[in-house]
Amino acid sequence: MNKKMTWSSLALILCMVLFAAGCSNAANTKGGASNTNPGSTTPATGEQSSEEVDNYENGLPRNEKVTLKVGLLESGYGREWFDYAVKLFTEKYPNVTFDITASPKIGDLVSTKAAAGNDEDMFDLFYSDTWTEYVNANKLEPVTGIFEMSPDDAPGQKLNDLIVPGFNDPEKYYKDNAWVFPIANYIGGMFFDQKLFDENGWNKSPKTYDEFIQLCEAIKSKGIDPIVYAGLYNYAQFAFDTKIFEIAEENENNQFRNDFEYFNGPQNTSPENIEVYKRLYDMGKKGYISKKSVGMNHTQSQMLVLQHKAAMVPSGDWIENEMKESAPDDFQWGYMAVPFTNNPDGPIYMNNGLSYSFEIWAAKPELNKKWAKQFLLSLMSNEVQQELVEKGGALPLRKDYLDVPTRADNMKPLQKSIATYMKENQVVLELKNRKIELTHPDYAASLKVIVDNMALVLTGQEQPEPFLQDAEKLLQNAITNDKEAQNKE
Amino acid sequence: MHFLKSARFQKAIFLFIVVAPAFAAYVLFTLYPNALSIFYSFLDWDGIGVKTFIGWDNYIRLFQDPFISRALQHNLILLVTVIPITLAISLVLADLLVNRTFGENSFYKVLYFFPNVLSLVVIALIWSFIYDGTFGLLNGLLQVFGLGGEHNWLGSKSTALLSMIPLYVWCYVGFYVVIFMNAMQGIPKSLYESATLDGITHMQRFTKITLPLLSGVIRVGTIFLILSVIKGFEYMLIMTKGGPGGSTEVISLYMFNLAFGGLNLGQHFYGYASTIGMMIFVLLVGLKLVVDKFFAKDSVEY
Repeated sequence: MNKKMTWSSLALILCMVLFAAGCSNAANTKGGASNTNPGSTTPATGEQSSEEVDNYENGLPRNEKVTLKVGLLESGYGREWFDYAVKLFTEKYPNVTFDITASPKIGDLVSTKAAAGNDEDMFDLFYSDTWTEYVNANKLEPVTGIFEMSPDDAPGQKLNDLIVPGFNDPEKYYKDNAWVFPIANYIGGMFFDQKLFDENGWNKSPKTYDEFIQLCEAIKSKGIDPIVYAGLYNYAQFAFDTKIFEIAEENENNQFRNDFEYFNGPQNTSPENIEVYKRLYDMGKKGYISKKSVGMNHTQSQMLVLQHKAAMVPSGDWIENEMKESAPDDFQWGYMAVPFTNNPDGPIYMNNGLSYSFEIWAAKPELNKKWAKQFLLSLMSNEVQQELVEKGGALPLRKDYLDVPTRADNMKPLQKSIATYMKENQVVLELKNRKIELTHPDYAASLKVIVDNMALVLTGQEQPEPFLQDAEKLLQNAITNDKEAQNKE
Repeated sequence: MHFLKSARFQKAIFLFIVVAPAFAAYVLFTLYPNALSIFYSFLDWDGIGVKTFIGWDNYIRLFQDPFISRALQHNLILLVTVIPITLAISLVLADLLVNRTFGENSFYKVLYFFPNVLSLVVIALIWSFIYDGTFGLLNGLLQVFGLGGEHNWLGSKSTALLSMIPLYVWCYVGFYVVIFMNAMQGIPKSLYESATLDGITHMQRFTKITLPLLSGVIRVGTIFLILSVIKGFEYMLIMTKGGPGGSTEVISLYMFNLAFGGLNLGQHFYGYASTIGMMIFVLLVGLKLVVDKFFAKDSVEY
C-alpha cells in the first residue's frame, strides 16, 4: 500500500512538472517551410552558411533561407493581390518563404503579440494602426531607406521620385524617420448606384452645397433615405472631414492649413469646424442623414444602398470590391465628393489617405529586416500595383502607373467613375496631414468626446457646440503638454 | 526515515499534492495578475514601452474623469433593474416548475437554460436583429399591433441602455432557474404539507416558506449577478460600441477600450485602465458587504 502511494505521488509530481514545462515558453524551432494556416508561427531564421555566400543583385545572400512572418490585414481589397506579390517574390528569390497570418482583425492580434513581449513570436512585417507607441518603445524599424531604393521596374530611379506626392513627406517624419510604409491610397466620399440616379434624374455631381441639399430633398421626396452611414465606426468622416478646408478657402483664411498642421489655435471650435458641424446638424434635422445610421456597421449601411432603401453612403473606394458578392448584377457604383460651398468654381475637397501600409518589427534578425524591406519595395512595382488596382479596387501609389494606357482601361468601374469625377470637377485631394503627433491622454479623451457624439449630431438629435467645446478643452490641454514635452526633447 | 513513513507525514504530503495544483493555478492566474494590476495602476504605461512611475496621478485622474461617473451611472441603472427582475422571474419560474407537474417541464427547463449554451457573439447578433430599426423583430411586432414600430432602439440615447435590460435578463434567468429549482427541491415537503393543512394560500406558501428558506441561495445569486453586471461589457462592445453618445458605455467597457486601444487611436493606457480595475475591485467588495448587510446572516428554519 505504501509503495503504491509512493509511486502514485511520484507520478503526480511528474505530471505537475510536465505541466509547468508545457506552460513555459516554447523552445525555439527553426524551419523554412511556408504555410498559410492562421496563427501559424514559424519563426524567421537566418542560417549562416559555412560556405561562401552567393548574393543576388540586391546584395542579399542567395543561399540563406529566410522565412518572413507576415501579419496581413484582410481588408475590402481582399488578399489576391498580396498572394500574387508573394508568388512573384518567391519565384525571383526562392530562398525566401512567407508565413502569412491574415485577418480582418490583424491589428488586435498584432497589439496582443506586441504586449506579450515575445519578439520571436512577433511578425516580421505587419499591418497595424498603432505605430507611435511602437516607435517610442524602439520596436519599429525605420522604413526611410526604402524610399531611396529603386524598384525593379524602374532601375536608376528612386522610389521617392516615383511615389504619389504626400505619401513620403519628410516634414511628417516622426523622430526623423518614416516608420509606416505605404502600399495603397484611397479616395473617400459619397457612393451611390448610378442606375438609380439615372432612373430618377438625380444630380450625380452637384457643384455647390445648395445643389447637394436639393439632391437630398429630391431623394427624400421619393421616400428613400438620402444618406445612411456606419455610425458604429464613424464612416461619415470619409465624406465630411475635409470640408473644413473648403470653408476655410471660402472664408479666405490662408492661415488655416498651418494652424491645422501645427495644432495652433482652436481646432474643434474653429469657425470652420463649427460651421461644418452646424451644416451636418441641419442635414440631420431635415432627415437627410438617416437616424438608423446610429447603430449601424458598414455592411448594414452599404446593404441599404444596394437594396435602394438609401441613396448614398459615405465610405472609401474599396466599397466596390467589398460588396461585390452582394451587389445586384446591374448595380453601378458611382462617386461624388460633397461640395460644402456655393462657389461653383471653387475646389471640392476629396478625402484621400493611406488605405494600406506595413510596419517592420525592429527586434528581428538583420537579414529578415533586409528581406522585408526588399519585399515592401516589390509591392511598389507597377506589376503588383496593377494587381492591387484591378483585383482589389485600390488606387495606385505610383505616379507613373497610368503611363501605360491599358492600365486605365482595366481599372474597376468605380475607379473609372472616380477618375471621371476628378476630371470633370475642380478637386483637391486632401490628406489632412498633421505635423505634430499628440500622445497625451487628453488627446484620446477629446477624440472620444467627438466620436461619442458625432452620430447624434449627424442625425440631428444633438447640437454640436456643447460637445465641441468640451472636446476643445481636453485637446488644448493635450497640445500644451505635448508641445512642451517635444520642445524639451 | 521512520518520520517519512509516518502517517502524519504521508497525510501532509497527500494534502500538499491535492491542494498544490489548484493553489498554484490560483496564484499564477488570479493572485499574481491582480498583484501586477495594483503595480500597473501606479504607472504611465502603454503596455509596450517604458513603465513610468507616476504615483497617485492615475487615481487623481479617476476622480476627475467625467467618463467614469457616466459609466458608473449606466452600471447603476443595470444593477437596479437587471438583478431584481432576473431574481423575480427566476424564482417564479423555478417555483412553477418544482411545484406544478406540467408534462412539458423538461422542455421548459431546456428552453430557459438555452441562452447559457449560446456564445456571447451569437446572443449579441440575435438581439441586434431584434432591435434593428429597419427590419427588426420588435418593430415588426409593434407594427402588427399598431404601436408604431419605426424606432431605432439601439440608435437612440433614450432607449439604447434600456434595450440591454431584456437581453441581460434573458441571458441570466435560465441559469438561476436551475439554481433555485435545486434549492427548492431541498426544502422538506413536510413544511408545505403542514402549512397546507393550516389553509395557506399559494402566494403565502411562496413568500412565507419558500423565499425565507431560499434566502442563502438568493444572497449568493445576488452577489453573482452583481459581479456579472459590473464586469460585463461584451454585449455593448458588439452591439453599440458604447454608443450612441456614450449612452451604453459601462465601466468595464471603458476600461477595456483604454487598455486595448478601442478609442480608434491606436493608443493604449494600461496604467490608467489598471487603476479603473482597482476601482471596480473596491466597488465589488463594497457591494458584497452591502448585500451581506441586507440579507440576514442566520438561515431561517421553522
